[in-house]
Amino acid sequence: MTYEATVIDQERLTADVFVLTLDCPAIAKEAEPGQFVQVKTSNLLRRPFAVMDLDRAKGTIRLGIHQVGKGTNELSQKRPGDTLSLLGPFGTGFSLAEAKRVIVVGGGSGIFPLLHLAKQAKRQALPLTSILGFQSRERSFLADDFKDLSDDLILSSESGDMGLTGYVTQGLQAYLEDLSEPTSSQTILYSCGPIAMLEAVVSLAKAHHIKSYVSLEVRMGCGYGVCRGCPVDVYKGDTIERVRCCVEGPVFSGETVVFDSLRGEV
Amino acid sequence: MSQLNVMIHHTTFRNPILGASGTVGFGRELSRLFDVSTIGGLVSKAVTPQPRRGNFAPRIAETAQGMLNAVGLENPGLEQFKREVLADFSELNCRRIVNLAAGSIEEYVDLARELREADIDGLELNLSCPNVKDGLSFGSDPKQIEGLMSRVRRVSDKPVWVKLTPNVTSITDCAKAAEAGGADGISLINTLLGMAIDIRSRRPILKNNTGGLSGPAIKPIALRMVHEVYQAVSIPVIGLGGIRCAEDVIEFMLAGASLVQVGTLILSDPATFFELPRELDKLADRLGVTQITQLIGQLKTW
Repeated sequence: MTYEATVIDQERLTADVFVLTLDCPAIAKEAEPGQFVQVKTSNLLRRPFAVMDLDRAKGTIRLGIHQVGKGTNELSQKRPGDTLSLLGPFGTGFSLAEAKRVIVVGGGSGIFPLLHLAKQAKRQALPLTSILGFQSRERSFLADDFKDLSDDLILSSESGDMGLTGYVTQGLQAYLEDLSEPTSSQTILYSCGPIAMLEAVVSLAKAHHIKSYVSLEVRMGCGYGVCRGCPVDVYKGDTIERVRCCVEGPVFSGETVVFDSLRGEV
Repeated sequence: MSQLNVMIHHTTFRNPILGASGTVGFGRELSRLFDVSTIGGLVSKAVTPQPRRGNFAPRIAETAQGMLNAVGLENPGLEQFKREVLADFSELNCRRIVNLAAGSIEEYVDLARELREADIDGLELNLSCPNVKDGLSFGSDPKQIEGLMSRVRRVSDKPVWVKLTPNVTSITDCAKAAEAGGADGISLINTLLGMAIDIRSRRPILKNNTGGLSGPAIKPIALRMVHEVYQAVSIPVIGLGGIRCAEDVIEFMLAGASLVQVGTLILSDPATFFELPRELDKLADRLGVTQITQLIGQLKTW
């Protein structure tokens, strides 16, 4: 599960978002949508990144990375031929097993794991609606990739210079209100983004009787279950259970997540 | 090939490298991914009398050359541990130490008594968790340490290590108290109480506000304390704090450790942890050390 991956390509998407393409056949073979890898930098702890995309035949994976600190700045300096130490793939990812129709809802860097999922949905010929939100056109990315995969694409921007004006949840709300009852029962919504956004997405999905799955981004220690550094509270029947985001998650059934347990996360 | 095995209190460890409590869970995840027969042993996550949910997230914050954690002793509690975890833990092919934490002397005694028949190689009393209310009160009072240890001694024949906190005025007084109470070994150091702050939210990063500092940042403190305690007691010292490589292991042994525990490293580089015994073997060869135990306490101070 420890792999030395070679950087094949580094592509900049916006001022602070880039994509690393890595040669790592073992992870490319195994990783399911929603799973993540732990990447080593000069930091003491590794940092988790969702596998954004992969090519099993070529043995490559792609990681979408938002530059937010020392470790991700270092990763932005990686060039073809450089190597990276990876652990993984880890976590419980998205499942399309029950889906007849798919909605993906992503905010900012939360859209990375959804690309892998959207491609899988496309391969399974599932009708796909993508609802994506960014701060502005300048800070948007991968919209064209989703456009190619989706039957419907709804974009929004907080600045208002791309698609609907406002948060991604406004686009979602309008879309859900137009959905007919028989369609909604076969539809599953998958989402990733900031915690506050996911809470709003889950509550909209619930209001429209649509099953949802969310991928949570929380601080992690080990990423493989030994340290208990990434607790998430989930409802199980009438009780609340505390589980590990890295093993039982990062993808959870939306209605089971106790969002109050994550108030200290962003 | 150097001889890496270490015998203390009639127990032979195939090498002096163990995984520290809180960084190996109950061995389940690691033993699926790695061969635990390469290491000396594993010290379990703390087991408490009742199940504990621990603290809310965030529980982890990285700091300069270290990390803070405030997990808060999340564990299934003694009953579920015995029912669902102990059997697998006992089967691990290395020395198995169960770490115990409790809120009163009576509770520690109960825990030790309940594990009297367990197929394990020893107990480690966590008298020093910084992340639970009153967790520090036991571990910082020599009288309480001695009283607690002597009560545990009366109910258990298992080797018992007392894990000490560095957050005290005199670590040697605490170590001597543990020895006087009948401890078979002293593990040190637990984490140092610390804090990390987010300047934008003006809040501590940890939901618990404070947490325990571990990693390379604390290694010099741990070495100094191992050195002091080694001189103050005659029972074995188990050293830990920021160990990342074979050189670190030898530093701890020179300072007086008979065994060492590796913690934070396991979170980021579990494979490196499992390779450490081999690295130690190679390094000992290069240093001309034929028996690793020859190093224990051989520090020559100025």
